[in-house]
Amino acid sequence: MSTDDESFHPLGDEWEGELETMLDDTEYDSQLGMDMARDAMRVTKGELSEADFHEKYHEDVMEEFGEDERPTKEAYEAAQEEAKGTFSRMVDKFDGDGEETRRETMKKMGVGATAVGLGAFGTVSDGPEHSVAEGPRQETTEESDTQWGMTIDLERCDGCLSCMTACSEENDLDQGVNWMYVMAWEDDNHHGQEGSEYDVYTDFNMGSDFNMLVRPCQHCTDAPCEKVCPTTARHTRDKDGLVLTDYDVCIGCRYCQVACPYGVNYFQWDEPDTAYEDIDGLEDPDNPDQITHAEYDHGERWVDSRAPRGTMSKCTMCPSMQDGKQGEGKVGTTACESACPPNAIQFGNVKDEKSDPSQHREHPVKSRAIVHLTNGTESSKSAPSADDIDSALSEGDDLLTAIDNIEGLTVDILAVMKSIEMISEGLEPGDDENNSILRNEQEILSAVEAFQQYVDLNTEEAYTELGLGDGSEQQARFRLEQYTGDPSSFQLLEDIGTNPNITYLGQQPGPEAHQVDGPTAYEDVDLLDERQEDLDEGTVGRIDGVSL
Amino acid sequence: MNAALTAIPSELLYHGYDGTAGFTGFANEGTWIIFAVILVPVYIMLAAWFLGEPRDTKTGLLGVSYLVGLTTSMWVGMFVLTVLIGIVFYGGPPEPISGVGPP
Amino acid sequence: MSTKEPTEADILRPINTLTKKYFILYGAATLGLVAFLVAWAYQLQQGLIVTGLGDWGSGGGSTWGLYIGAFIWWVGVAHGGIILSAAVRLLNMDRYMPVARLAEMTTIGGLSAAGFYILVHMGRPDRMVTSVIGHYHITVNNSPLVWDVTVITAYFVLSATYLGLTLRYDVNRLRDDLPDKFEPVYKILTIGYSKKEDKVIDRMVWWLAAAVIIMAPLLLHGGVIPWLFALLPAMPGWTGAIQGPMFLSIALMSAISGIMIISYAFRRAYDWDHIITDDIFRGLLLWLGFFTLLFLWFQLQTIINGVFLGPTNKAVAIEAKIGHPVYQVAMTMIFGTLVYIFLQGIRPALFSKKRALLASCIILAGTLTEKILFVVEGFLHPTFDIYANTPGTYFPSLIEWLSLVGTTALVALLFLNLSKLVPVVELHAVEHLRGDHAHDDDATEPEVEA
Repeated sequence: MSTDDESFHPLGDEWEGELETMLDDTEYDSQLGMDMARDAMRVTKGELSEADFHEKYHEDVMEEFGEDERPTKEAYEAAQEEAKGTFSRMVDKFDGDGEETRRETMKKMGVGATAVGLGAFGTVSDGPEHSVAEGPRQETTEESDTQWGMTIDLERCDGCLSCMTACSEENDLDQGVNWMYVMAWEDDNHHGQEGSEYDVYTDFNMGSDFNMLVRPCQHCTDAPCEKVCPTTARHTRDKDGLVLTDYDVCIGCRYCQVACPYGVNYFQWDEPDTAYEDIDGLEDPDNPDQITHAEYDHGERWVDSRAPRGTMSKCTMCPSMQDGKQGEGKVGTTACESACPPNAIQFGNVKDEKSDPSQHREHPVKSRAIVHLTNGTESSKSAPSADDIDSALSEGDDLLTAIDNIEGLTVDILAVMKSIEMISEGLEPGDDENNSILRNEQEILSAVEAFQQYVDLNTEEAYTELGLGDGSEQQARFRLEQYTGDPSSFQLLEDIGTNPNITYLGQQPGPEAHQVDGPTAYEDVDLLDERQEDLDEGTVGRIDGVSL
Repeated sequence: MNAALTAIPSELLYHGYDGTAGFTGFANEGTWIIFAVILVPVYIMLAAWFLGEPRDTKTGLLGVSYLVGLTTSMWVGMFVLTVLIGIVFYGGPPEPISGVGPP
Repeated sequence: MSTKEPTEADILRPINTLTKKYFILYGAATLGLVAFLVAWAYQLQQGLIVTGLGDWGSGGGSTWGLYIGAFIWWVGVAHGGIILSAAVRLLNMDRYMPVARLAEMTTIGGLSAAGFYILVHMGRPDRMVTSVIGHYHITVNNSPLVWDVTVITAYFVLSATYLGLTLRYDVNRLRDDLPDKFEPVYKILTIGYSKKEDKVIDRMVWWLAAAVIIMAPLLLHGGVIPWLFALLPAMPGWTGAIQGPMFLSIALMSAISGIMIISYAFRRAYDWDHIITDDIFRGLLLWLGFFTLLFLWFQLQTIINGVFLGPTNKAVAIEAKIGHPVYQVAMTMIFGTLVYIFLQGIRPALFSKKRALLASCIILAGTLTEKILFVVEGFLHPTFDIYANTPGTYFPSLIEWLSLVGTTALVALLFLNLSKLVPVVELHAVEHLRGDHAHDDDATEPEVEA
């Protein structure tokens, strides 16, 4: 037990005691564990350097476990290399702190600090033996931690066109400049309205009469538009993989538009309808420059919002948001993602397994369920929060009564929540970007935990009641799939070799797929589908109805 | 090596952008196509101008001055014309002569 | 048939005479050019919306059209220069010597028109130099358009150098008969000239011609220009290795036709029957037939590859191509011309200069049409044709038609001006026809005279 007056753990003495008890149950030295945990807190607080922490317990850890692969090892080794002299100075500083200082500086810290200390025991030397997955065939060798991209759930899209409108307003686009484009389609394998054999489910549009395709720019890793550009105006921003157009460099040759397999480019054939000084996006900044310029190593460039006359434009994935120029809250979001009522668009860093697109792509069934239960906007099913549950339940409730007592909760909803909990890996969202899926998963996990304070859901009867069979992970998965379906994923024109950064969940259009009228007509929301109607008005000497 | 080769020009020539490694910039298909295939006849021609009989170095240099002079006057002329077009029709000369952003 | 001997006076006639017809032609050409310049100014001010172009895909248009089609066509016409010079200097076809310089000037004219089209088709022509040259060190490595700019610059400069170097001999020998008012120009043209250099220059331009005959047909019009289209993976109407040979055959057709028309015009204007003889037209016509045959053969390859079994995207594109009425008319015209050329080949009585002229005009119209169609069809039938608005629509606007008038006027004005400045037929050709020269007719470099 700590000899200090105050507990080092933020949750207090009791909690510290419980942790120590847990340590006692292991075969390892509890005192060492508690000491390390305490100092780990200090590391997170910045009072102790990683290198010092590592060094302080290195011998003990080696003696206890035979190896020392703690996360602080790197810092320790680096410090060692830097200079022996400065290191001993660092150690002296540490020694000078003294017991009193240590006592004084003990303050509440996050749970994470404990994890660091306890994690030291849990660290089994994995070693770099996992095989490096061979990535896709790719020409680009540029490496970066961030690659913005999307996972789009086509079976959640109901063709409301809100994303198209939001994009148009955010970027002050002309009519027909459809950077974001949503269409319904049909082909021989995917029928539309007539002859549909699906039931229409109300929660999801799995049974929708429409096959949808949501088509922003794919921000390909091997973007043909970038490769063919004669001026580097069309380029990939190194730090985050966005494919952008420099409006000051573009010569308007339109070769990028020619080379793009997907047809996402829209040229500014005439003076744009919105004057530069009137560019105001969705939030009306003080200066248009804030939302039209983006940051590069070599300075700011004009790459965002509508293009000037004579240059090319396309979906930018909102770099002014990613750069934090519209507030920290918007980093990791786009206008279209925020506007989508069923949350069909998930934008984020596709290289980060914690991001929304990665979660949605790798765990589509679980993610669909999470999105649907926490959407708030469109869903008829909503998961109660831990607080809701705490306030509504009391000790001794049985399962069905408990469900009844919580407003809006049904057996179905609880079953889905429980299934999520059963197959969850407990991955934390991190705090960099808007990792909403993992964040909401945590909410659901908390809610299930709260519920289980009152009613044990890990019993045979509970499983039966909730339709979870034998309570195995597999059964949980089945239960979820009953609810969400199990979509396949695809990318558009994968065999062309562009390596797009948008993954789709749902039905893939075949080579002979063709667009049909969707649930919402473009003109009904003031959008123009065929831009040529507009452009024809400016053509000099036009002969109606004649075409090559 | 690629980074070093492109670092200097990217500072000298605006706007500091240096291509996407492996995909654009040095070295790629174009490097070989232009400098190791298409311009090879020109290299051979130049070599022949200064080697073999009958030759006259002064005349060879005259030929080279035609090549260089024509190329330069072509592009300088184009430069003047295009900057003029920029001033008259697009509100100002092109970046980097003018600044980043709308005129 | 003429028993007249060609003289220096003959080839100086354009320089030393000024006729009413000349003025009318000059006036018309100037009018044509000015009309287009006014239209271009309007386009610069309004933007490219004044054309019939538009976004492909959801937009329902075609983003490249007549401007790019005509650009390719003019580069094709420009190939006449090297074909003739190579034929004369490298392959010893002395028959064509009298039209070699006219052909070289056609190259300069054709490439100037092509360069003009590049400027006209860009949305921001003011950035042509700063953006392209400013990033050349990066983009030359990966962008087919920059390869295009590089090779066209090289071809233009090499051709102009050829012209400049070969003019030195003519201007020096004919100096006294050339007008005094252009003396400063002649001084520059013959800077550092001495008779000693003739043999050296001869050898230098031989190597120049050799360099260009490899570069221009194989690597420009059979290289970087088709690669603009053939290397793009998602337009099945464009992809494929056949485009290189296909484009080259069209270029050679256009080149020969262009030379025939211009040669005919000059022969008629200046009574040059005995210099630009019927022989030349017969020969050119046969070559035109050969290249036309090659072209139709390549079209056959393209068509059968597309229609036999697919793949789907290619089948759609090729079926649309051969079903297009404009394509059918153009191919019929071209095929009909080929038939005529074949017939007059086996029955010489069917030949006449006027018919050769007509054949040239039809071929030029056919190749221009084919090129514009080729460009637009890429966007009408892409692999990703899911859009309701694809295929889109396109028809050239008045401004685009005027560009054809304007660039033709530009080339005409070039000839009208050049022909008043320097002889458009090589002095060597006249000397050769007279049997003056003691020079060898070998294809190898000329020996040093004893």
